[in-house]
Amino acid sequence: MKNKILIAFILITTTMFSACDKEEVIMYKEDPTVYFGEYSRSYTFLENLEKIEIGYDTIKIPLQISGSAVNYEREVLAETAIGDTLHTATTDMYDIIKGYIPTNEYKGYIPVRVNYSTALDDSIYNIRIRLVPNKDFPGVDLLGYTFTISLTNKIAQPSNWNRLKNYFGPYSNSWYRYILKVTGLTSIPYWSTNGSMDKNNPDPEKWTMTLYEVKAYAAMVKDELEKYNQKHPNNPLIHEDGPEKGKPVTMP
Amino acid sequence: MKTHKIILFFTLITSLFSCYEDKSSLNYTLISPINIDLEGASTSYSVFAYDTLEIKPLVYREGIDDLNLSYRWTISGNYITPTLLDTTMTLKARIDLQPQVIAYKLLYEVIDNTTGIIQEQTFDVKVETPFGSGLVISETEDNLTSDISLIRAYNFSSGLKKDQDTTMRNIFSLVNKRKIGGVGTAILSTTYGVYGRYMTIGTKTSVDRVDPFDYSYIDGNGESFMIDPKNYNVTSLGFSSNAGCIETIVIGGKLYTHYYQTQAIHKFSYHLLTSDMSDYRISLSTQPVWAYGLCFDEMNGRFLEINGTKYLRVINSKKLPTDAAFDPNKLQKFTCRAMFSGGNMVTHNILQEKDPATGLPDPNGKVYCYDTKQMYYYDDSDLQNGMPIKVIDLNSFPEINKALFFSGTDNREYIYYATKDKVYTINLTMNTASVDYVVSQTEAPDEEITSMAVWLGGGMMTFTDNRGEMKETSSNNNMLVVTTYSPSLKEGFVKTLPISIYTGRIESNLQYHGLFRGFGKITATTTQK
Repeated sequence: MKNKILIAFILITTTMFSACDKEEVIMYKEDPTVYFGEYSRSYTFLENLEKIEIGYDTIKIPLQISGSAVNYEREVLAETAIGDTLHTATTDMYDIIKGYIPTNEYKGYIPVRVNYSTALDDSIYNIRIRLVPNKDFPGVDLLGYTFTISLTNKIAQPSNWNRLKNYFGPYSNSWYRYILKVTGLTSIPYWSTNGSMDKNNPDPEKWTMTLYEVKAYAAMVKDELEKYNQKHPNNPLIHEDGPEKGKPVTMP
Repeated sequence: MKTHKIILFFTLITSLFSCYEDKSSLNYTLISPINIDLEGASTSYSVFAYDTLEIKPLVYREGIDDLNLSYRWTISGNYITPTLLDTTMTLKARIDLQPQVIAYKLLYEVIDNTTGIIQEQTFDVKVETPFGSGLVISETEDNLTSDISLIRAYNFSSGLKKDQDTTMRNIFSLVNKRKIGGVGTAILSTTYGVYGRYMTIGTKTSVDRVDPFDYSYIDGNGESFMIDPKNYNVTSLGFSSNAGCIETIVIGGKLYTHYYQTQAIHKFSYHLLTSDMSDYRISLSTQPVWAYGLCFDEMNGRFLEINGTKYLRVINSKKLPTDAAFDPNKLQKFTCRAMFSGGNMVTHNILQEKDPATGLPDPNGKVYCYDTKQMYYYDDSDLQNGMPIKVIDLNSFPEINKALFFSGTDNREYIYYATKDKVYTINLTMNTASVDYVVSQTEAPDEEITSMAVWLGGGMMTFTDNRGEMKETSSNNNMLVVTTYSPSLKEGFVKTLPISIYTGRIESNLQYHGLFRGFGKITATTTQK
């Protein structure tokens, strides 16, 4: 009997000490996936005039991944969405470059080089891009996006030109483009004398420029126009389009 | 019985894992508080900026040695980063903060190092401006950087007696924690009603603008302009509160205007264009009180009128009378040495023949005063402002070719010019010149004049009247401010020379001259009103 009790005691204590094991945490594993974080971008050379002279610019399309960051750089490939009816750009307008997710990062980008051509001056073209599976990222369609880049260099008469003509004279696309080039501005957001502080300003966040700044820029343009005409005495700057087409540019 | 033993055995086993009572929460000790005794003193203080603030509380904790207490005085508020002022029981610290209408918050913390307990006391500290009217100077000690100093004195500040003269040195660096990045070429303090106040400081490579109220930095270089000129070589500053309401700055030969009469924007605009769209290069300009300003175009050898913010008006030679003293557009062989207002609505323009190769004054070139008209800006339909009056030949006057500075007052017919060690008075009516002031050579034989200007601010001066008696009068437009520098002493001086309201001559009694010393080399001055 004593032996039975002893055996039972040994069995119970042994069971108790070996009852539970600490279980290791199971890590989530799946094939890594890369996807576009947004679905579209617009690009206009009008806001990047210096790139027209260079001939191209590079846009970075943002990427995100699902899965863990790793301690090496991973490639991301993309291609034109051939057959996509929304794709209107010609092959000479862009180049898709290999992208990367950097080491230990969860985000990266695909560089897309956009090339200037005169076809962009009066039209908008769409580039449709989709991701291509590769050994680093077998998964590419987490959100099912095809990325759209809208590309243009089209210029149009700004809605506030009636207020600007007192300082810049009659409008033409070529003259407005010259003004933006000289001033380095992408627009002239003037509505009234005190800009955003004018209580009658219909959109203070949009029409921010004061009269004094407009006059300063007008003086700057007038100075440049004078220098241009002096350098081209028999060939002054003219309006290349619109109602003033062919006439020399004049400022008040 | 066996069953009972087995059950008892299992019970004993399980009892090994049962809970026991935790009594640790019953361990506590009562502690005495930290006492901060202000002994009835207020918790609100008012102090001048850059003055020392002292607060002496009595701090103790029963049963604890004072050595186990530590202290922190931290000031915050008015959008500043909280700043540690002191770490002793009593506060004694210089308050280097901008004057503000709203008081700063001063937090006093006493820390018991044995327990980590902190006791707090807060104070309100209102910082007032210590600055006021006086003479502002730009001085350099290394010929590379400069600083701003203020002299408040009987000669420069209304209401001050002679024994109340005070000097505050290096205010710009004191407030802004840096020197000005160049040697001052021009400095001007301007105020226009509620529309703004600026002190503009120019060097050959920089523009800085500070608030003349407290010398705090506003902006500089490209930020002072609507369109960055990318060149900050300042040669001239001017201000017209009436004709155009503009502050002007000449940079790289181009004249820029800052339109004061607006609450929307306070930056210099694009440089003025000429009325005929011709190019120009300005060196000097002048802004009379009631007429549009005038400037000299070195490129084309002509005067141009500063027509407010509109343009630089080319003076029409076709409207000159046949007996005009000169053509304001045909001064190509001259360079401009000075421009300032004289009596009877006249602008004195000192022109000297120049070296055609360099454009600089020919050391042997002849010197003339070309007088032009000043017309009230609101009454000049015939555009007579800037038209010629006469030419005064200065070449018979002693050492005129060695003249470094010229100046004059708008209430008398005299011109003052300074060589490196003398100041001469030209009596325009009598066409005579006499030396009225000589830099003392007793203390330092190498002391030389570095600037000269007519005082146009507040304050008083003492002079000898026409009966030989001592008299007092306003120093405004009646006093020359001459600065000198001795390389051997490495010391700059400010001297005030009263001008007799009877004779136009500089006061001969040296006891009535003012002297301020202990500066670096002074290169520019302005009135702080």
